[in-house]
Amino acid sequence: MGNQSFLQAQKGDPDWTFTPEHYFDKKFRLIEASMLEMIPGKKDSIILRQSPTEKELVAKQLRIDILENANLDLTIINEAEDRLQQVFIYDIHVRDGGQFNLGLFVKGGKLNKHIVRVTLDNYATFSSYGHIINTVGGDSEIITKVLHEGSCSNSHILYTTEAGEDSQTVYQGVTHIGRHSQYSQATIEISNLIVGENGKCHSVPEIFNHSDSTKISCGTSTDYVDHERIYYLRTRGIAKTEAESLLINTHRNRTMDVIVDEKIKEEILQLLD
Amino acid sequence: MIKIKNLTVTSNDDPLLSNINMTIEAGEIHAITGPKFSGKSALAHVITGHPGITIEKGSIHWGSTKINHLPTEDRIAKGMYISFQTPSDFEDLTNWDLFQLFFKGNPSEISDLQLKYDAYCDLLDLGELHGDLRINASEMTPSQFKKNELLYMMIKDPEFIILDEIDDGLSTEETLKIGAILREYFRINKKTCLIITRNQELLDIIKPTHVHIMSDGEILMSGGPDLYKRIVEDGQSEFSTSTKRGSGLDLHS
Repeated sequence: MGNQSFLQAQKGDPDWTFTPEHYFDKKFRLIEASMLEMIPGKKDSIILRQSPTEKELVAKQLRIDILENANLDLTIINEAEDRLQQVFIYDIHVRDGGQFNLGLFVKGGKLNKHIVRVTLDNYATFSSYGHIINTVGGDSEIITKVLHEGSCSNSHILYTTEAGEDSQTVYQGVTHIGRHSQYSQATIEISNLIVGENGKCHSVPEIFNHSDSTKISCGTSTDYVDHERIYYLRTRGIAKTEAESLLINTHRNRTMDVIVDEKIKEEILQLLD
Repeated sequence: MIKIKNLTVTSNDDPLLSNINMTIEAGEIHAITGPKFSGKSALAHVITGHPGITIEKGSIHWGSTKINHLPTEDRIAKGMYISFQTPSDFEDLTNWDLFQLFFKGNPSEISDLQLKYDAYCDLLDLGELHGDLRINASEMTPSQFKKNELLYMMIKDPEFIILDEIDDGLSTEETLKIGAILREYFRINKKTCLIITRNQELLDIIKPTHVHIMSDGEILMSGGPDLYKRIVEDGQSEFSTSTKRGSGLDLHS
């Protein structure tokens, strides 16, 4: 654990050609590969709960094809055991006029990596939001690569992260707006919170724009649960645990507020606590 | 009301205060002054139970109760309040969020919160915040930010108030105005107060009943309201940081 994994991710994965068999000098085994296709014009909402219990280095792959004018809301709730090392790969293609909303909530794991690769055609929209939390001394990561290949395509990414004692979270994202993607929009917003001693949050959001008439914004911020702020709240009569929760929940709410379904929100909040 | 006896404290093994003795009776206004880093704020923080400060020796009593190890929030529940030199701000929380948190469990206070808020906004010349509870501290000017601390105080209506460098961030004109407001607030409401400041004009207006001079973590002198003025009139408005312990103020170095 530590910076090594993050640095290797930067150095060792320039082309984003992840193969499950070889990554970080470790041999992962692809145990599952699924395909999901949304037929033209169809709308659906799916929740995937992933809590693998395998003891070895495992990889899972999910291919998602959103056909013309289809709309899919996918919420993935992932909780990994403390010692588990796993990699999830999501290969997504959103075709003309399609819309894909991905909620990704990741907790725990020794190495818990989620790689999201998205291709957007004309008028396609990809929206991804979620929360990464590791408080078990491990490394939880989300990596996104978004390719705008059509005009008027939109991608919006919003993640909050939380690193506990001796734990690490990583967000690494690259969005490319291709030269035929005029009038496209792309945003990446990452907000990190260090809640434990020696916790680390790394985030590198990048947008490369090769087209005209586009709107882009990209930013990251890192804060920590400050003892002085806790003390300040306590001097206003708020108990210590409540003050800590307040600061953490305020941070989480940036993504929780995006979730419309109250039942899903409740389930995710239970996962995070 | 507050009795501090032989108090010696450290922070991360660094000495902060040494052998502090102070008794503040109900209705008294005490002022602490002295050079920067002399331990004035540390005293305020140890009284309110800052977790980063360790009491090595001595005691703090609230009435007859020893509160050395009482959690901060429980001290506040007894009726303490501290206005900070540098208050914390919370990017994602509005004034209204904070007020709701601070006054929860007391529905009657919540119900007339808006009325009190507006009234005290006017009093503190915070008219621009009038009626706007949704403002975030990060949107306030430095002056509004500090006055907001006094706004909390007035709505909270505590028995014992610590004001840590309230003039910091205020213009001279604002300081004088706030000083006059506080003097009347303390007098009418019979408040007990500990004021930390290096601003003589503020002390001239508030007219404390007791003055203490601190340096190097010790109280060097204590006296009546004229103590600070007497020292200043002796020709030194700034206290020497090279003052040796036990030797009194070195006014002419």
